[in-house]
Amino acid sequence: MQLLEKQGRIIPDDHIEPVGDFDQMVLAAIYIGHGLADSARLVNQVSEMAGRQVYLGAVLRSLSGLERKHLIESWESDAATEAGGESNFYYNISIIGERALAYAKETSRVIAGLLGDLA
Amino acid sequence: MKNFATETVRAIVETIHPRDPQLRAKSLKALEQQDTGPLQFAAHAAGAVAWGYSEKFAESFNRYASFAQAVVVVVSFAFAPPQAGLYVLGAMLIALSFRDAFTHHDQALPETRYYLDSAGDAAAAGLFVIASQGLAVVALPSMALPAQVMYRGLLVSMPLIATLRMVLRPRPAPVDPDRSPQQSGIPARKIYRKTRWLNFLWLLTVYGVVVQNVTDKHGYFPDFLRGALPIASLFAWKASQVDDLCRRDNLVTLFTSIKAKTLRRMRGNLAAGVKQTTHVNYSTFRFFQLVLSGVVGLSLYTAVEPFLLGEPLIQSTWRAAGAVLAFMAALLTWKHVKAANRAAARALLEEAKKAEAA
Repeated sequence: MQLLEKQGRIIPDDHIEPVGDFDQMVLAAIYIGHGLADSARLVNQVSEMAGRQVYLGAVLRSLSGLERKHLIESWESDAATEAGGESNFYYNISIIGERALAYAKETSRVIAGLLGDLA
Repeated sequence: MKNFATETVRAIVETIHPRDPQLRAKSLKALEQQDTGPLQFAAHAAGAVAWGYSEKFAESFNRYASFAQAVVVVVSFAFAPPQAGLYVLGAMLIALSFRDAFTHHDQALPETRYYLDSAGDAAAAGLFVIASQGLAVVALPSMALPAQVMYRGLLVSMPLIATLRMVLRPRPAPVDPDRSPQQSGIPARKIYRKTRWLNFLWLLTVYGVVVQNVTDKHGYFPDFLRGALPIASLFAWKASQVDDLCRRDNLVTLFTSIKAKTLRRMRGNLAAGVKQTTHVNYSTFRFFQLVLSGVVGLSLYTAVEPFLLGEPLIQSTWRAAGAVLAFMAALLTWKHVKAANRAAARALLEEAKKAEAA
């Protein structure tokens, strides 16, 4: 177990991944989306939170950064279940992501206003 | 809101976005869902493309290939003024980095695709250099290359870059790298004989490159290096991969399989390959591989030097073209020579094991 922890394969319970301001907003938007947040919805939601137009590139960059830190997970839907008949990518928050978001809620007023019931 | 402008932007994004299918799907689907005006749509599209390249730059970086490409560019434009040479080096490496990010793929593609991509890379780098020179002529004349240096440098560097990229382009591992050559039905001894013949032919090619480029300059150092060095380094390279103990195993009992012993000894004559993790000779193997490529590279340099220096075309072109083609052939066949040796060693070992078990 100690070896796995050393290799970074087991994340301690009290570990909180540091997240930047923009990433916090993206994380909050994913949390609000309840597993059904696609990038288009995230762009709109984050633009609302930030109070300015946010562009797709910035959101995609933030999403891949969060995914690399295992704070979120992405999944591709089945084309048959989608309205347009084409598959889509959705994002879901992980347990470590929720922990990071709860910490962000304590430290950021913007995020605290958005996440009433979290932690 | 689909209209002509957004459809055009989408088509452009589809053309220039990195080819990685997963990344492409994420970008294009996200872009498709953006319901905005054409200007904002174009900004979203630019962001998505920039994200695609930023994701792929680090992943596609290959330090050996980058170093080799930089050496080729420096040598090809060695006779340019220093700042103009640096400008060309920057332009070419940037173009090649973008091509790396564009073509990088995690899935195995057909072999021909890698060759086409490598030729495309060299063409893109050439175009980029010409465009950058056009810009330099207008905006920064001190950075512009003399026309002769540019054209001659491009003529030498483009085929060399295409070749280097064919050899050094990172590829996903084949589906079954240890597939037995026995499955092809060819006897191991026949594979062994053919492989030895192939090794000889390859060495002959290298000596062909060396011989056609020997100069008549007195005391010229590269000529001093080119005598026995290729053959000595090839043998040392092979020796670093050989299991010598099997050749000293002279003990024969009633239960010894002579056939298996012979096959194992044959295997001892082949470059069976070494692994970084298990073989102590790995650094020796790498060193002599580097020496071999250095010798071939040196021969090439002495052949193209007069052409790059600006000697009249009629005197220098054919020699330079011959040396570039021979270098390309030696380098491109090198990978196959290595693979043939390894396959033959595997086939001999399997047949020896079968003989021992019988």
